[in-house]
Amino acid sequence: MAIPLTCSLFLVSFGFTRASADVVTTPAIKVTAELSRNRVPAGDMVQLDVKVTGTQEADLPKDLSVNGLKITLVGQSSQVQMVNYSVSSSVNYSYIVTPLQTGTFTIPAIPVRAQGKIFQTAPLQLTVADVSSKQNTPQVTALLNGVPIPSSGTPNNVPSPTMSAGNNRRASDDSWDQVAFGELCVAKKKLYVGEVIPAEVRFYVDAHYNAQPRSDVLFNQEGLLIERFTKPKADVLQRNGRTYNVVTLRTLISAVKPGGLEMTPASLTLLIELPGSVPPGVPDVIAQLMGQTRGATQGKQVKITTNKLSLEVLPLPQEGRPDGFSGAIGEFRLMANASPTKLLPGDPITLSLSLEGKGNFKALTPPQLTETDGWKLYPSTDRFEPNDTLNWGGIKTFETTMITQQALTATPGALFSYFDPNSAKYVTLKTKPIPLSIQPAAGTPSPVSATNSSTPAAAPSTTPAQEQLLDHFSNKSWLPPFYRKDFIIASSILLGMVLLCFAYLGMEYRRRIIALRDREKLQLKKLWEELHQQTLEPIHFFNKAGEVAELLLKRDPSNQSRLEAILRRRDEINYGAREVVLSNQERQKIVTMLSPDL
Amino acid sequence: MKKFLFLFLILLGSAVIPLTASSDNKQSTIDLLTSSPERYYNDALAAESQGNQMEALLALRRALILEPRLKVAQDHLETLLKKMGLPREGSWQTSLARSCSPELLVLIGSLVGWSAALLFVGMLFFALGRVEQGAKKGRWPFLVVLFFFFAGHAVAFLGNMIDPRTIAQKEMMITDADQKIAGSSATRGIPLRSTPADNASIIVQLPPGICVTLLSQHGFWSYIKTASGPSGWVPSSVLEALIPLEKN
Repeated sequence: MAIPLTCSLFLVSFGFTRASADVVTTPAIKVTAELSRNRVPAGDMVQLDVKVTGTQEADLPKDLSVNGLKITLVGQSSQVQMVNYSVSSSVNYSYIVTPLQTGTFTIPAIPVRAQGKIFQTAPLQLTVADVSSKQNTPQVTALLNGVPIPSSGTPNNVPSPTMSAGNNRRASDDSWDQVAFGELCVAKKKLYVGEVIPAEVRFYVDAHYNAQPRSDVLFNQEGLLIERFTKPKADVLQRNGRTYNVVTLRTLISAVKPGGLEMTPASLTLLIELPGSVPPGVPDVIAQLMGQTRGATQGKQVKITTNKLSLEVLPLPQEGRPDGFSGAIGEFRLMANASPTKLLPGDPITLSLSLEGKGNFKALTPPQLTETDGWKLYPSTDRFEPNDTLNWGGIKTFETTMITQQALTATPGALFSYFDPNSAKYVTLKTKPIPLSIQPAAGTPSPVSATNSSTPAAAPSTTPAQEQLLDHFSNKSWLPPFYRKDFIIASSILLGMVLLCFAYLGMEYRRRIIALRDREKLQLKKLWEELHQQTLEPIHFFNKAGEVAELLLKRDPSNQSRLEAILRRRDEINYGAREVVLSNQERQKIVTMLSPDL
Repeated sequence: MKKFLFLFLILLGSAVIPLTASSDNKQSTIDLLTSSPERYYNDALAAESQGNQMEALLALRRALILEPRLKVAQDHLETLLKKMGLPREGSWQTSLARSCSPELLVLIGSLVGWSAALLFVGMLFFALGRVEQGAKKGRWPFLVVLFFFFAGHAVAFLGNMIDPRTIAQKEMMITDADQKIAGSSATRGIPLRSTPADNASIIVQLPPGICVTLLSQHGFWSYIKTASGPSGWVPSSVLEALIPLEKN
């Protein structure tokens, strides 16, 4: 027996298709740009997210210039993770894209400056369709095609059209408003800018009719940020005496600007199949098993819409706004926990600050730490544990790793400010410092006065000597002696004096040598003249010739072989016993021997 | 008479050396604060207690440049380097400077060298007197004096060579002052690039806190040489001179 098509449960997996493009430029930095939708009807807004991973800080333009689109930076959020001191971080920047006209637009590459370098996202395409072409969004339809609408789930208590043969209801008999319709509900109609509230879209289809989706669920609203829908929930309800298959979609919405807001109804286009009659002669049991005859159905495309809603969006009051308020709206509770609480100086400690409650968790920033003196703080990490499918309520925990070198007695405290929309007041939550037991380690630094580093102060007598502040100051030059002007001058003076002395000594030495030679020359001249006197006694002649030979040898020792005979002859005459005889020939010969050098 | 006049002038000149060595005393009170190794050591303790290890490291290095034998600063620097995961620093110049005051070496070497020079000059004067007499003496006294002349000045040059102030003239410390350097991160360090451009290939990542030698500067980029060998370019903004610039 054929199972009726209408028995299938339709699960509308409504979701924003996201066009994304990644540009990986370096292993460290990754820049991603995403559009919440790449096709929107005119008048709707789109969220453009730029995610920068690998850094905590990046510079992006506040506005992007695209003809036909208005793109404005509306916020940022960051995430940091540290595992074994290995830090990974990312920061997400959100833009709101408001189409000003229809058409297909290319959002150009967005320049992202991170760590001194420019990164660029890939260009993205956005199609802004005319309002009349809102339905049949291709991407959305693709998600729904082939997924049957849960017309009944075939609950036992719901009479099948075929079971009530003869009572088959024809669409022509009913108003289409009763066969299929939608409902839009919000948690409250008066909300604050940035406040997150749940919204619910329900589509009712009479359980007696087959229905198949022919479009995506369209739910867009200018001035509202709409989160992703949760997984659709199917149910069967009785209403006004009729049985309906109900698909419920839930989401979170928040307003971006104050003022009155008329919400556009959500819509869905369905193909309603009208049941045919059971062929004659077919027993009821068979007909029940068959559900209905397939060949007899006929379809009708119906667009069902929800009701309209008016919202009043209030601005956040300026009065009483705390300094540390960072945009948190909702109801929160702050809890602090530290681990470990017994440690040695230098050991890391993790301070966990948990915010529990309901509100805009995505916009929450870490609570502000107080009394942080003496602590070295590392960037905090966060994690969110939702306690509902909407991510409206839950616990967001910020973990901060800290290190101290001092024997502190407690962790820092924490402050967190938020706006409570129910009481319309700002609330500041505080946590007290958590007592710690930090034991001073042997040989580790003792507390050091950090108040005035340039003022010498005597250290306590109990601190280790090597960590005491010094209280006597010596005076040193930044320049080594060889670079100092006075040293260079003094050395130059000394060098100059020594050189002067050498110069003087050289000149004096030369002068004295010259004088000595002049004296010798005079002596030679005198001796030479005496040698030429014929009246000179032979012994005197040989002595004078010997003196001349010695002077010549002193001047030029190379003549020794020639002049040695003269000296030998003189010695013979002076020390010999023979009578001295000097002939004219010998006299002439000796004078000739001496003459070449004179 | 001339000999004694020259000797007197040279002795007067040599007396300038010790005077120049103590000429630092003429510095003003502000200079005293900014060039006191003890003051830098105190600054380092204060910076570290505030969690600023980089500033503490710089202050300790400056304290040891001014006074390489400041034991507490030596110990604290080693502890801090270990804590920051940086390699232990040391060279034969540093070791020698810690055991013997470089300034003292320069002073003693200069005195010995110049005294030998004076003695040599004096001996030449006496030798000159003997030239007329024609007397000749041995040369070894001259050689001994010459040896002292060269040895004294060699010691002075050695003292200058091991003086941390001489070594640190071109020394820079890599800091983490500018975390927005392209390709840098707290965990990986500052990239040493092959050319002065943001997109140049990275030779090695330099951990903040290490010392490098500045070779040249080109616009906002500095060409440096690391102790381990590689040379390359880093943004000048990440370099901090070990010797305060105003003192240079």
